Amino acid sequence: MDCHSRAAGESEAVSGAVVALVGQPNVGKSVLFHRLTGMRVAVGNYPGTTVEVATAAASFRPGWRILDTPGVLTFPSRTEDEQVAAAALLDPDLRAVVHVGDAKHLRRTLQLTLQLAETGLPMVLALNMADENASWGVDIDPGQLSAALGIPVVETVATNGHGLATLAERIRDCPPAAAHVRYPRSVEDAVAELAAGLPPARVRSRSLALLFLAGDPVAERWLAGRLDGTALAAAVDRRARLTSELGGPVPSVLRAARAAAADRILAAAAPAGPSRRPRLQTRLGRAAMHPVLGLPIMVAALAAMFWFVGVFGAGVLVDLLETQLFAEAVNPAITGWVERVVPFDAARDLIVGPYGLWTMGMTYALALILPIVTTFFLAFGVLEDSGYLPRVAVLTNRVFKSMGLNGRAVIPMVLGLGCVTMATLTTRTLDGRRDRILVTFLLALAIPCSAQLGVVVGLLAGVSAAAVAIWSLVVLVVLVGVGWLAAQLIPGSRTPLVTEMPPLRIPRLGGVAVRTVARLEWYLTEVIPIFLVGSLVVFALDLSGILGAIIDWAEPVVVGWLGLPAATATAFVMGFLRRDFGAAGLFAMAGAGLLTAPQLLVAMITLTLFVPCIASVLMIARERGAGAAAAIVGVAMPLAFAVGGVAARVLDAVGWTG
Amino acid sequence: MIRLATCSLCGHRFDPAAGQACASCPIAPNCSLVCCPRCGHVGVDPGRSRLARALLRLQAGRSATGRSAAGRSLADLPRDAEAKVTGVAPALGDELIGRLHAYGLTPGCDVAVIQRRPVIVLAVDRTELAIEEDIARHIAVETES
Ligand SMILES: Nc1nc2c(ncn2[C@@H]2O[C@H](COP(=O)(O)OP(=O)(O)O)[C@@H](O)[C@H]2O)c(=O)[nH]1
Ligand SMILES: [Mg+2]
Repeated sequence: MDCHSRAAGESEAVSGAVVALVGQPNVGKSVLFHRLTGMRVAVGNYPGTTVEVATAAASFRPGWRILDTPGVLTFPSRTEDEQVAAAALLDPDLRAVVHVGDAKHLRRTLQLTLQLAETGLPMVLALNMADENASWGVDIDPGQLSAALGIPVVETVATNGHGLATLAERIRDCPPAAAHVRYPRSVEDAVAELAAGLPPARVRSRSLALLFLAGDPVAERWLAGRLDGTALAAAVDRRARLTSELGGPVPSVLRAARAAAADRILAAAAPAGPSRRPRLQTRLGRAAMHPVLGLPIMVAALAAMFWFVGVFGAGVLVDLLETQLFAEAVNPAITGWVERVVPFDAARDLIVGPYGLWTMGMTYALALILPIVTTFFLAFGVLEDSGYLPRVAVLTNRVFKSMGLNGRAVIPMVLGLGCVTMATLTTRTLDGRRDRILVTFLLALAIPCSAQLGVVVGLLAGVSAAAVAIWSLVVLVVLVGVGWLAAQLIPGSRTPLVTEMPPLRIPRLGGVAVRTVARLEWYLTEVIPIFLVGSLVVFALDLSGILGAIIDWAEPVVVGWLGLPAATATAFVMGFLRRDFGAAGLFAMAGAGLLTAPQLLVAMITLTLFVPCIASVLMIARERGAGAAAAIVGVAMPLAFAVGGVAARVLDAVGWTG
Repeated sequence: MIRLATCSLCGHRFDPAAGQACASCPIAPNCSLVCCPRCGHVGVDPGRSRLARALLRLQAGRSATGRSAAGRSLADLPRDAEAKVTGVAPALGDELIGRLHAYGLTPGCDVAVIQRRPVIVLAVDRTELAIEEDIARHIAVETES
C-alpha cells in the first residue's frame, strides 16, 4: 500500500522487530502506542482518525519498533483503513501482534482475536479499557481466557498506564498463537487444498488461504504478486467452487463458526450479562444524540468551538502576532537587515517585497494561519477525544442523506473548517469510493478552512451582520444544492449510516495535546513549504509579466460578469494559490476603499467557492487521483464564478447596499 | 399495489395514478392534485405530498409504540422496546452483515431501542449502535410478551 510505504520504509531499519497494534476502532490503540513508545512518533498520525500507519521506537526494548494501525472491524478487510491494517499483518518484519480489544466488548473482541490468531504470529491480547469494564461491574478472568486462547492476556488501562509494564513483558516473549477454529468440512477441504500451493509467508498459509477464500483484497493482491497465472486462476476457481458448495458467501460461514467458538470461550471466562450500568456517562451520551435535546447541545458545542477559534484564535492571538509582533517588530527588522545585506533589487523583492517569501509567505503562515489552526486543532481534538463527534453524525444524518451521504461525512466536513487539506486526508475513513469522492468535492468547493473563515467573517462582519448571514446562506445553499445534484450524477448508491456510539469521555489533556502537536507538526512541515512555493510562483508570475497577462485575461469576467474593479483579478489569481491569500488581498483593497459592500460580498462568495489552496489540490490528486482532482477543479471554478455573478445580479436587483 | 383514493365530493373510489390528463402533463411528477373521474372534482392526493407523507410517517412512528406483535423488524419497535434478533436478511449484503456482526448484532442477540429518531440507536450488549431505518427494516426481531 502506498500510504503505508513511508512507515514500512522506516521499519526496515531493524528487520524482524516490528510489533503491530491491531484492533477495532476506538479501543485505545493510539493511546497505547504513545505509552509504549514514549511518544517519539515518526510518522504523522491523527489518532481517532488514524489514517496512516505510525511507527516509533519501542521504549521497552531497544531496536524494536511499534506500529499503530488504523482500526479494523473484521476481516476480510473492506475499507481502506482495514486494508492498511491487513497489509501490516503481512509485513515480513513483524515480530508480534498486540491485539488491542475493548474489555467491555469481550464478545466482539474475541471474534477478532480468533481471526488474528489464525495467522500463527506471536501474539498478546491487551484487554484495554479495563476501568470502563469495571464500572459495568463485570469481572473477566484473564487466566482462564489466556488458557482458552493459548496466548497471554493482559488487562490494561492505556490512559493511566495500568497493566502496561506487564504488557511490555508479555510482548517481549510471547509464543506463536495457537488458537484454532474448526470450520465446516467443505471450508476445511478448500483451505487444505489451497494452503498446500501457497508461497511461504510470515503468517500461516492456513490464514492466507482463509483470507483469500473470504475475498480479502489485500491477501488477493499479495498472492497475485507471488503466484503464477495458472496457480492464481486455480485458486480463484477453487474459491468460486467453495462459494457454490456453501450456497452463500464464504465470510458468513466463517463468521458463524468463529462466533460459536468465541461464545464457548466466553462462557468459561466471563460471567454473562451486564450487571450495573454507568449511569451519568450513559445518560449524557444519550442526551447528546437525542432528537430534541441533542440540537441545543450541538449548537452550544459548535458555538463554543467557534468562539474559541474565531474570537480567541483569529482575534486575540492573530492581533498579538500579526499586528503587534510581526508588523511592528519582526518584519521591519528583517526588512532592514535584508536591505543592508542583499545587493540586488530583485533578490530583495524576492524576500521582503510585496509578494516576498518572508513578507507574504512566512508572515502569513506564522502570524495569521498558525494561531488559527492551532486553536482549531485544539478544539477539534477535544471534540474528538470526548466521543462526541459520532453523535453529531447521528443528528446531522438527515442533512447528509439529502446529499446522498450519511452522517459520518460530518467529521471530515467539520475538520475541513479547520484545514481542508487535512480533512481530505481523513475522507479515507468514509465508507465507499463514492462517498469519498463526493465529500472531497464538497470540501474543495464549499467548505472554507479556518484561515479563510477567519478572514472572511472578520471582513464581512465589518460590513454588517447581514453580509455574514448572506454569505453563509449562499455557501450553505450551494453546499447542499450541489451535494444533492452531485449525488444524483455520481453513480453508485448511498451507504446508509451504521456507526458505533462510543461512551462520552472526559477528554484527556495529554491526549489532546499530543494530537494537536502531531497535526501542527504536519502543518509546519507540509503546508508551509507550499506557502513558500506559492509566494515564489506569484513572485515569478509578477516579475515575468504573466500575472499581468492573466489579470488582463480574467478582467472581462471579473469586471463584466461579477461587476468588480479590475484589480480584484489579482486577488482571485492569488486565491488560486491559496483561498485566503485572495481574501487577504481583498481585505487590503477594501481597506483602501476600492470596494463597495455588495462588491466585497460578491468577491467573498466567489472566492470561497473557488478551488481551495494548492496544498489541498495536491492532496486531492494524491488521494483520489489526478483525474478526479482535475474534474473537481474544472467544476468548482466555473461554478464559483457562476454563483458569484448571480449573487451580484440579485444583490443589485434588490438594492442591497450593506 | 394499487392505492385507491376517495373523492371528497362524491365518495367515488378510484386509482389516482390512472388519471388520463396527467399522462401528458409536464408537471405531473411533482403535482399532488388528482381529479375524480366521476364528478371531476379536483382534490389532493396525500400520497404524493412530501409534507403529508412526513406526517403519515410520524403517525406511523407513534402507533408503533402501541403494537407488540412477534415476528417484526427492528424498524417497527418503539422506543425503549427490548427484543431478540431472529434473522438478518441477506438482502443487506454480506459486507454490511459482516460489519453488524462485528458490532455484535447477530441472530440470537438481545437488543434494546434507545431512540428512533433521527436515526435508530440500539443497545446491543454494551455497544450502542446507530443504524438507519432502511437497514433496521431488514433485521427480524421477536419480542417477548
Ligand atoms: N477510560 C478509558 N479510556 C481510554 C482507554 N484507552 C483509550 N481511551 C480513550 O478511548 C478513546 C479512543 O482512543 P484511541 O487511542 O484514539 O483509539 P484507537 O482508535 O484504537 O486508536 C480516546 O478518547 C482515549 O482517551 C482506557 O484504557 N480507559
Ligand atoms: Mg488510532
